[in-house]
Amino acid sequence: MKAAITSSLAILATFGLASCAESNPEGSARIAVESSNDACTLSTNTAPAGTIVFKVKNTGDKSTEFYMMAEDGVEIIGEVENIAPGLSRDLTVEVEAGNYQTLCKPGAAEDKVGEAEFVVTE
Amino acid sequence: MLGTFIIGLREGLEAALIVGILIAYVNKIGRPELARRIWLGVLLAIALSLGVGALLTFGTYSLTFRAQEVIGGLLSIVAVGLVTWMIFWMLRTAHSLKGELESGIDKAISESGTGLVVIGFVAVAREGIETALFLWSAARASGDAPGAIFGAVLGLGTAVALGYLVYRGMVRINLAKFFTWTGAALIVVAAGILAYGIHDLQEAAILPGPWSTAATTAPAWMQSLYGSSAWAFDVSSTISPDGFLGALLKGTIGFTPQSTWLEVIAWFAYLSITMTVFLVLNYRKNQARATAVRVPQTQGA
Repeated sequence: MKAAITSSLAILATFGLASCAESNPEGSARIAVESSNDACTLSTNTAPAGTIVFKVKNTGDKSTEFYMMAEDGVEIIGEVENIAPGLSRDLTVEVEAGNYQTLCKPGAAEDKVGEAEFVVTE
Repeated sequence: MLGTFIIGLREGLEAALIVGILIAYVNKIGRPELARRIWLGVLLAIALSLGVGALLTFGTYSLTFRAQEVIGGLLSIVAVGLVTWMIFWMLRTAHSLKGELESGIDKAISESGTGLVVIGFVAVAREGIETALFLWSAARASGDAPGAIFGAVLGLGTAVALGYLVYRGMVRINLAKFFTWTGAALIVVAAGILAYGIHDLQEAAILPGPWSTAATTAPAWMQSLYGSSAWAFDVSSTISPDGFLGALLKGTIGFTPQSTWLEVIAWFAYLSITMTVFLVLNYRKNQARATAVRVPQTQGA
């Protein structure tokens, strides 16, 4: 029991501190994303390496999710879910230079909408 | 508004059920003052989640995706451990209730005092940050979607109301049935939380899943846990994940319309093992108690 308490507190402390120190959106790229029922539009599809904040706005009528995937389309670099219609939520990622993909999932089902290339420069 | 209502309901239901059952339990064993410890944990988790959520929404800091998944995933697994411990603690203390070892029970309960605070805390905190971020996003969107925050709060309120109904129902049924049903219900909820925690860790690519690629040297059975073969089933076209039914199934038995093999295996293994051990122990205790009650009566006659 003691071990369980200690470990859960340790988890919270570690990630609480790590995540707070990790990113500072002041010095990072900010990209606007619009997720509608049938499109996933980014204000730009390139950004310098480092911290990127996607500000995802749901303009459709279903709850949506936004994903940044690795080039292979398998690994999730970042994901923000539970974006109800009319709401905006941020996704913060820390990325190195390379090619990535972005996409939306309106309705939270597996149908990907607006898959597009995203390039992170040095 | 419906969108935020359903998200609120889904995010709040599991926690409301667990807290409802735990509060019913401590009332049932005649220790209502222990409910305060559970509430303390719950309130701490709500305050911390809302605080962290506000800091991330309105402040200059943000939480990376991976950190959020790891927090959610690990806390889910810790929650499963704690709830399992709680079920067997219930079983131990419950059956000596009417016995002469009153002091023994008090000791067990006072030892578990912190345990109850932590359970209340973890039950709410595991999805607390995600829920708080969602709530704050709804609050912030008052210009674009005026009903959003209302729907979100109504959804969470409905989850709490359902938790309360379960609590009321639990308080009414008789003691022996109560322990069997609460224990079994908690095990089912916990199995769902375990699957969900595994899903989070798969998304963060910490556990093998659809979002990671196997080493080419890995044996075939291991390869099948990765990539597209990692999916066990997908019925999201039948049961929409953002619908009302989807929210209820997710919030009670932890069913997601789209599950990976690892989730299914963990769910099944946890459920079958824990449920079997629980039912066997519960049956034995009931038998022992029935005998203990009969013996003095025969001697007295």
